[in-house]
Amino acid sequence: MNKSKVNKAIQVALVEDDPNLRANLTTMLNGSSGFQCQAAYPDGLAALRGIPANRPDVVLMDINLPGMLGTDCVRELKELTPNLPVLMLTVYEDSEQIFKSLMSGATGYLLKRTSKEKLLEAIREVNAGGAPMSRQIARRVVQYFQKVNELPTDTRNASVVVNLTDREQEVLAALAKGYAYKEIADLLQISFETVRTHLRTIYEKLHVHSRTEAVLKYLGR
Amino acid sequence: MRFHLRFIGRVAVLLLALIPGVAATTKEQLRQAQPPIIRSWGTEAGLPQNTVTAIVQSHDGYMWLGTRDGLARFDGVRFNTFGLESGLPSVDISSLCEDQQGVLWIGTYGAGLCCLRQGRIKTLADPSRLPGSDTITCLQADSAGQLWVGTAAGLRFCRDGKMLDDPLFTNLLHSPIHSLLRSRDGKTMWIASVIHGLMAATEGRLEPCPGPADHEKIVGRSLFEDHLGRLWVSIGNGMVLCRENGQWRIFNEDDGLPFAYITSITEGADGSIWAGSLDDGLYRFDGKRFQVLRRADKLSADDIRSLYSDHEGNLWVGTRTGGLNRLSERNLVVVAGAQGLTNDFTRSVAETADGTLWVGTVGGSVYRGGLAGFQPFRPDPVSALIYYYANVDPVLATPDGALWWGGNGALMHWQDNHLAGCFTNEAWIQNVLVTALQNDRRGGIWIGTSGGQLVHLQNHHFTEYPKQLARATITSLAVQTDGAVWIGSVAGGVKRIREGSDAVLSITNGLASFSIRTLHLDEPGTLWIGTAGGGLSCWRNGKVTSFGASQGLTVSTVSQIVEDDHGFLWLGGNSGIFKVSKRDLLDCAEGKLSFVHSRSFGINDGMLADECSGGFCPAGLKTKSGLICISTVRGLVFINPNEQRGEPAPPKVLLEEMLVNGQPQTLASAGAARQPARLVIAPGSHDIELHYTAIEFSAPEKIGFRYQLAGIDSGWTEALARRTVYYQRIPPGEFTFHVQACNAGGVWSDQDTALEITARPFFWETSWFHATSILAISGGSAGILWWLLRRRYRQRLARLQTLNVIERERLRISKDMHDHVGGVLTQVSQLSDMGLNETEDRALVKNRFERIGNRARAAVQSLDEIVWATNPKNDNLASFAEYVSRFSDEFFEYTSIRCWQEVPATFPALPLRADVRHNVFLAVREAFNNALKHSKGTEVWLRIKLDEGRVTLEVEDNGCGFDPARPAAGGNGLENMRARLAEDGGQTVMSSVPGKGTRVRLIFPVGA
Repeated sequence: MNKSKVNKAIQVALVEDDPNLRANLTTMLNGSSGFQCQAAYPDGLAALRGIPANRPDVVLMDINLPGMLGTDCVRELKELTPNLPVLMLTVYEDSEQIFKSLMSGATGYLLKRTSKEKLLEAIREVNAGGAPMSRQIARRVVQYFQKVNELPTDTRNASVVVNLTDREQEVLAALAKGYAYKEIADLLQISFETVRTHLRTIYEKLHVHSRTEAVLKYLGR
Repeated sequence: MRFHLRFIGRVAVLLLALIPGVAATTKEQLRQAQPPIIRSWGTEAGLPQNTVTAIVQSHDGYMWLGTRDGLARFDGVRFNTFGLESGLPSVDISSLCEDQQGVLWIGTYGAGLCCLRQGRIKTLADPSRLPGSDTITCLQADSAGQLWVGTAAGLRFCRDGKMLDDPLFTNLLHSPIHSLLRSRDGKTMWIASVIHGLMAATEGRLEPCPGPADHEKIVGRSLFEDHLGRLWVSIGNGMVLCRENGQWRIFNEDDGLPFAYITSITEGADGSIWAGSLDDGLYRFDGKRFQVLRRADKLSADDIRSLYSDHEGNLWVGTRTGGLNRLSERNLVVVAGAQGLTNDFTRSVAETADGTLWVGTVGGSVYRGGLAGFQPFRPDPVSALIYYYANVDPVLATPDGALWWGGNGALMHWQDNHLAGCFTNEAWIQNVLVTALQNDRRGGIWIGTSGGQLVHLQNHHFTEYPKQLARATITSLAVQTDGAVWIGSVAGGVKRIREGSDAVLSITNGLASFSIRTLHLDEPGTLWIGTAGGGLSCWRNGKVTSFGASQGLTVSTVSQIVEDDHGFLWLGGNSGIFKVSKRDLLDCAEGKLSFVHSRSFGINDGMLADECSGGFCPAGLKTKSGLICISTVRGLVFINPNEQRGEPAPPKVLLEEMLVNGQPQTLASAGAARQPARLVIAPGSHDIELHYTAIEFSAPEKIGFRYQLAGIDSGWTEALARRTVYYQRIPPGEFTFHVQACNAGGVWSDQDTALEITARPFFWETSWFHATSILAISGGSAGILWWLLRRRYRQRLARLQTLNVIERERLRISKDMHDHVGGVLTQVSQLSDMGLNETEDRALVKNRFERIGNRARAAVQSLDEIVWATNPKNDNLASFAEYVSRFSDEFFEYTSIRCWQEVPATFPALPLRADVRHNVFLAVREAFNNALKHSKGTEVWLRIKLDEGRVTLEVEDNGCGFDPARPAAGGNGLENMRARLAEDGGQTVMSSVPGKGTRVRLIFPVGA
């Protein structure tokens, strides 16, 4: 009845199979002003049914879901709602899985043990159009695109293979070294917003590749 | 004196009864005046489909409706539907029956039998697989708990959830069954079989029941036994048999039946028999003839398929094309357009000594008539005066037999069948309407106008009173026995004057509205005041009391007040007619009662509109025959105050649905015991949505609800007609949700429906701390982890060559588990013990929680490290580099030190031995620790380089450095580091310049 008063809160959808964690995260979100756990789904299928209709602002998704994996769920979800930011949740930093989900369209990841403040900050950031990227991921991205560059030319021509621009590579390199977004902006003499745009584009390029069968095949994923 | 008046009254009634067109007061006569009230529901109201093949009321009060497109449950307001998704084998429902256990049996066309038990639908397989056996025609439960199932194939039984044949009835196994009927005494089951005719199964004996001559073999379509024990059987077009005391009687078209077979027979609450025909309407047998009700009488369709008489005395009629109808007893009679009141916006009504009623209308002038009907009254020469006469608000009959009516700038006087006067020239009457007329005891007439003018007519002389008495339209006048006159107007409250005195008593204090609609002066001299918007007030002993919704009187505008002989006031308002006890009102005024009960009448009772007209005087009357007559915007309403049943008891509330965060919940315990239902909610923030209902079919929309969640709400919340409640963010704890219903009269049920809600807390939500549970959880996860590690460890065993290495690895893992995870969990348990003992200081408790959180996070991180270290997938350089880089991020995250990394994006996946990478990792951690704890620097660089099979890992800070000749306090750790790495063929180079920082370089081989 009083739903109108929380209209401005960021509507978060949660996909998490562990009922305790799900309940905890829901409580935590609802207990934080400016956040509302709009819905909590126990698995990928439920999420795919519910999320496109309910239009949350941000999705938090467990990587290791039963049945449909979180990474697969992200891919499907991105087909249905391309602009919806998805943050992956993981217990351990399994870089392989994390990167896979980023390829699938996620815009970042969070450790489940992450403190509440950091989690909320990350949600706020993606909701505001940001694309948080850790330096390990930045390195992975560079590494990945190097591999893409090594693709046989026919494969590259046959599919929509996008390379990173020089600027994007510079952003990634600075990020990998440990510069903050603000410092990267100063360093490269671009605006803070442009840094974020570059990162979003990088994520988008990753995502495009994940949809390209040939690239995936070549990269053995 | 009183006796004398009564005697005269009785004589008058007797006399009136002899005069045609005058009200007759018996119920039967009122019934004949108008058919029962019919209300219909179809698909637009939520019925799944408009063919209602079966109707049954379950023990909890719901009406269950079988349609050709699913099953519906109806509470008078909402239809809940059941289809294939609910588990029905087919949506084509043929029959319904509730057994003694409260199980609803559902027969379908073509998909057999199923039952609804505790909210679940279960289909029963019929092993016989006879053609037609899955088309159920009728169901009856017997007293032995057995279900008799009539099918298109033959008679079957259902016992203990299994479909069976009964050897006694093998004859009937292959004879289609049309109908089954359990006799009232429960001893006999009547079976209408197609092949064998009507049979009676009594205590294990099966006997044919032959019909009367020419109808020996009865192929019955429908069966019914009435309260007199008469058996009714419909046998074909226009034919119904009735067996009474062993004798058959045949009813046919001569008795009013149609040439269409009767599909269903039942008995009304008054004992009359109702029969529904295939396509020619509904028939009521009044003991002599069958009287028809059709669409013309507001029935939704003429093709009747099912009839059911509910616990409240309503008759439910299911049709083929028109959905569902409810017929209820008429408590009142409406005389409107159909009875000759062609202008049915009736205003004032008056009754002359002969019992004739006179009704004023605006536009249609005056009508004359009675219960039987009305005609316009336009005799000569009145008809010539139509300008004055067309709009008549007040009509007054005086004891001398005269009739006065006020018109458009005119006052007319009708006496002895001629127009005795028509006053149009007086100054006060110019350009106004006469709105109020009242006679006094001295033969005078008081007149009020729309201009606010009060005039007294006595002996052909008009006396005008000062206009200040009422600045706007005078709506009501009342004359005391002593001659004082009360004046009510649309503004300024109530005033009282006396002839020959200038004193004016003005009442405004205590009135909820100064716009007066009507006044009623009762015999003891209490003035009852009906207001616009402010409800009812009374003036008594110089004091005004107002009655509004908080006193239980929901009528806000009272336009008419009529008093009956039983001490009740009948209030005509915008939302219907309300009956309320004067005694209760007076007790309430004196503070003896806080709440008055009223009984309302409105559209549900057959009124054409709820709104009663008002704004003139006289308004409403008690007829000489004792009926209450109220003028409404759609005709005159007559209510017999002597015939009114008490209000129906307030219904009990049923909880229908419970949703937690939008997910439907099942009740933890909803046994037959009278314990409240329980809802247990898992920890977390929860929004609860509860749907409840109360079943009462005569005026379902008028049922009011109130609820409270004991433990959260401080009192009752009045929900009015709302049947849903939301609670947001239920905190942990035990609560009880109470909900009650009140009937249309505002009487609350003393039965309270409760739901116990247990919102389980998270462990950190309890004020006392569940130390045991946290330990159990920690222990459990550690156990699982240990198992996982052990499994991995075993895999590793096979791959590790040297026993020494295995031994070391094992020792290391167990030591790590012990030191890191075990240590942290110990701290967690200690902190929780401390939190447990700390009951007072919230800040301290909060601090403990924070520390528990931090320690638990650290434990997870340690586990992360162990998992990483033991996972053979990570036995390569690339993985190692990534891990170290990530670790450094996390390590320095909340510190004052900035960590830079110079780590190539790619490393070849060179193999790196587990013990090597672990040792290097420990060394890195040690270096980080030194940088953090001792260097006092602000920046740290992590560099990893691969050069010809050797990796150089550098940790450099910009801190204070140390003198290599005099190792600092952390030196011991560095020594360990050096020793460990040397075992793996690596080396540690440390260089530092005091004031210039420290550099630790770890060099180790890969790919070996």
